[in-house]
Amino acid sequence: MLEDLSDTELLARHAGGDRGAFGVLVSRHRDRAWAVALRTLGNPADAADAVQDAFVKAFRTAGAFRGDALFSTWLHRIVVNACLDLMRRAKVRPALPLDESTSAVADPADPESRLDLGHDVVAALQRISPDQRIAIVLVDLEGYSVDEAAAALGVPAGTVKSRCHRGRAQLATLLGHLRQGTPAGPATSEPGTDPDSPTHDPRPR
Amino acid sequence: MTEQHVPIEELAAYAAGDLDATAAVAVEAHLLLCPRCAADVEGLTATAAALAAVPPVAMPAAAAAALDAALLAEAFPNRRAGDVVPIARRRRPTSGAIAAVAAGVALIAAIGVPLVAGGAKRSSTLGAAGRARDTASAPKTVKRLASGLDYTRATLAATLVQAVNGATRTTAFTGGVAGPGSAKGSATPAAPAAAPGSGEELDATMALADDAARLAACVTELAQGQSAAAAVPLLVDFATFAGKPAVVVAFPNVSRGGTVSTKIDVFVAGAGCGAVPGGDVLDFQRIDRPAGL
Repeated sequence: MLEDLSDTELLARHAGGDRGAFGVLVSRHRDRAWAVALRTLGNPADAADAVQDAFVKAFRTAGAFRGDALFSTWLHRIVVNACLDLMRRAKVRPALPLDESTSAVADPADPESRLDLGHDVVAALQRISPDQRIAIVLVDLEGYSVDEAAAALGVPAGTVKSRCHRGRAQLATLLGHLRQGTPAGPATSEPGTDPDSPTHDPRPR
Repeated sequence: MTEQHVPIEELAAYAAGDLDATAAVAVEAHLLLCPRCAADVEGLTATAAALAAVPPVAMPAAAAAALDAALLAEAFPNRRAGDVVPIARRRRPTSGAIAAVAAGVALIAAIGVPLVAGGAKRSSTLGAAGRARDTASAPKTVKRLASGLDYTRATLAATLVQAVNGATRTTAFTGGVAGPGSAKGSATPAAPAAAPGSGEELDATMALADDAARLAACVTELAQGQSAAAAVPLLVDFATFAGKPAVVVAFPNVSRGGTVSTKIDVFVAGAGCGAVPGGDVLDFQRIDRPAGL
């Protein structure tokens, strides 16, 4: 059965003209690609565009996959780039209200669920810089190792760590988890700049 | 007051365990004396916990169906009769294809099309295997229709419901059916005989219907990539698609885990299905399974 083959074998079958092979790869990886795109872009319509762009590109360029990386890493690099492309073209729709963008969370009418940290943190994610957001989505939400995330992003592992640290600090500020500096207020209009923090990370980016 | 506090990013690195030993010891020494920074470490830990607690999301069915359709369009670039199919695109026999062959033969058995004499022995062996597999998973009957209805991309789901409920081209074209799928037909009422080329179109489709071997090849082609549990269609309807002869083949939608979903995968193939590589696919949609199917 095709389902029993490894990703690399399936990709080779696909490149060889087996029409069923790519569909198995898609069904295997689309939920994770979706999660990365949704959390990165903040709304389902853009996520659908990005995932579709990414899989179509993967479909077309499967022959260029050398097998020296994991297929999932290769694919996520394509997904991440599709997300960045979408953001660069400034076509990203504004993030939906919380209750619509996080369908997995409980009823928003329920006051208890409104206080759900998972709920708030997803909204707060949209307010930090895209670079930090993608790093956090890959590492903290999707559970990739720093090295895997670095490979998917095409940056050194140290950069991923640094982005995660900065991003978590920003999120902690936005969520009101910090006592340093000013309590979290409305989002800074300039994502990526350090909001209100009186201390500044002296380390180079 | 802030100068002596540890920078927040450094606290974040500390909370994540990413500081080297020397730096970590220095931060720890500071935390013992500074409740404020210690509280911030707690806040950062709470943030990390909140991130870890974000529930996983699965791709919604509509987005997944749109993705499938986009990839199908990639797999079947618009092809007309006589187009050259690149070698790389020609399919090779695979275990999936073999299962699909069995399914195609099982289909013939299920819908009562006589086997062609030449391949009878081999086919019947495969057919038995296919049926054994079929009955082992779930008893299925393939609904075979020749509705002659005109499907379009926009009205596919509604037209399929009509076909399942017994509508045929005649009733649809004489305006007897008022469903959304027939809106186009009703808007331009035309007697069946008056529809230009309709007779020939149906003849072309029915040629496929009458050719068991080609029909089996067609279904086999369409079923490729489906799991064995989903390789036997629910329905085959000989009809037209945007006025052209077409066969509509609906497969159950079965997840990798073997769960049959409430959706069906519907292929619309042209009259070349079973004769040209790629199955002459005109459209593919994943739609809700209609009642009665």
